[in-house]
Amino acid sequence: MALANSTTRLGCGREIDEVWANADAPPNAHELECPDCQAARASLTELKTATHDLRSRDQEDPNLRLSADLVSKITSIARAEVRRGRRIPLRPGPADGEDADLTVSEQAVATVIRHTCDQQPDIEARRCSVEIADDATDPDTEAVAIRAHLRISVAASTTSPGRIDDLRQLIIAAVQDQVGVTAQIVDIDVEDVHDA
Amino acid sequence: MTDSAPQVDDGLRTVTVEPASSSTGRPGSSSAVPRLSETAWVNRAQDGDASAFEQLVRTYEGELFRLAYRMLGDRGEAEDAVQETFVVVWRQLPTLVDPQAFRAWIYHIATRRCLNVLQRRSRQRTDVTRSDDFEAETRTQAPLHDRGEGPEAAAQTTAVRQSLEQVLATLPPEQRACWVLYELHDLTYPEIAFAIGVPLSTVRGRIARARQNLAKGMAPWR
Repeated sequence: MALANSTTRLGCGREIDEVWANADAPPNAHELECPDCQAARASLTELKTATHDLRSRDQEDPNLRLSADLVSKITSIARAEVRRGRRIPLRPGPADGEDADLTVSEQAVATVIRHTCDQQPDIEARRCSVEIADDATDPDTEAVAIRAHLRISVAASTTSPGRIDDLRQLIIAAVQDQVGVTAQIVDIDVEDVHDA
Repeated sequence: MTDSAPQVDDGLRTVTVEPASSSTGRPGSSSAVPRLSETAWVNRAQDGDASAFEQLVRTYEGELFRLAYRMLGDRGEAEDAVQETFVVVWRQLPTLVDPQAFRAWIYHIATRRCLNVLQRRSRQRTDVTRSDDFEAETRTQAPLHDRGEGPEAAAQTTAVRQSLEQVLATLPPEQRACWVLYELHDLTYPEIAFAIGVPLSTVRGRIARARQNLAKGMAPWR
């Protein structure tokens, strides 16, 4: 095909993009007459076919992906550098008291909260943060109190007005049962709606 | 108390709730992995959930490897580039403002890494995309979609594809990156502009020049 040097314009003045865009359609009046466009169409059609072939073959080729060992190595690196956040004491009391070593990470509490959401088919947990509540001890149970902030997406089919309150109670119960601290405040923001 | 007391974690109930030992997201336990949107996985990984990050690795390792392999043409270098990309992704995830931009963002990191490798590469290695490794792999098996064609048609298809692979490997790196991202990875022009860090008009020009060079370069094989 006749191409002017260092430009993407054909000898007849058309841009190669124009020919590419029309390559799947029958040739227009100009292309029927123009030898530059005819040659460009032929080579671009072949390129299109070869591109499709290369793309399909690459996607199907089991060799063109990471080995399982390397995937494991990458995730091991991530786990070694995991950000667990600050430690939350499991027993109230002074920081240098005998129970001071009994702690749980913010990350671990957040995992319990996310897992609780995962068991609800209409709820998708997104960002979740956990910190010690302003009143660090629950006055009723004397357990350590935490505050959680959770953002969720709710299935579009969910219509129950009490759904968020129900979820909050499930989270409070799970944190109490599995961690042993009181989720004194559970802020839940519905930031999205998704198809179930 | 700080994170420097892992024995406390092991000795307490936290061992049952830490992400690494949670029932969700363990490799191979796909039945326990919840079906979540990518935004949710990204959000969770941003919060330090290694299981969520693992899901993202499994989702993207194939396509990032194909990108790196088409850019670098060497399996070992492509593996290194993808591994380094994921480590950077994990470390910088908390800085990602819009989780819906995750795909464009990891392509940005991976493409920059490949271009940096190519920049550092010595002149003698610039044609490495035709390495024995590459040739051996491309010839090990017939592509699935060639089945059913006659042997001559299949041979023709293979020859045309191989000519494309060879000419592609000779394109200037930035041109090759634009073409590969657009044609093989479905990135949009704005996403490619972001990935490479050039204006949209430059992306448009490079893809047009890549098509022109590929079409011209394949001519001798016809």
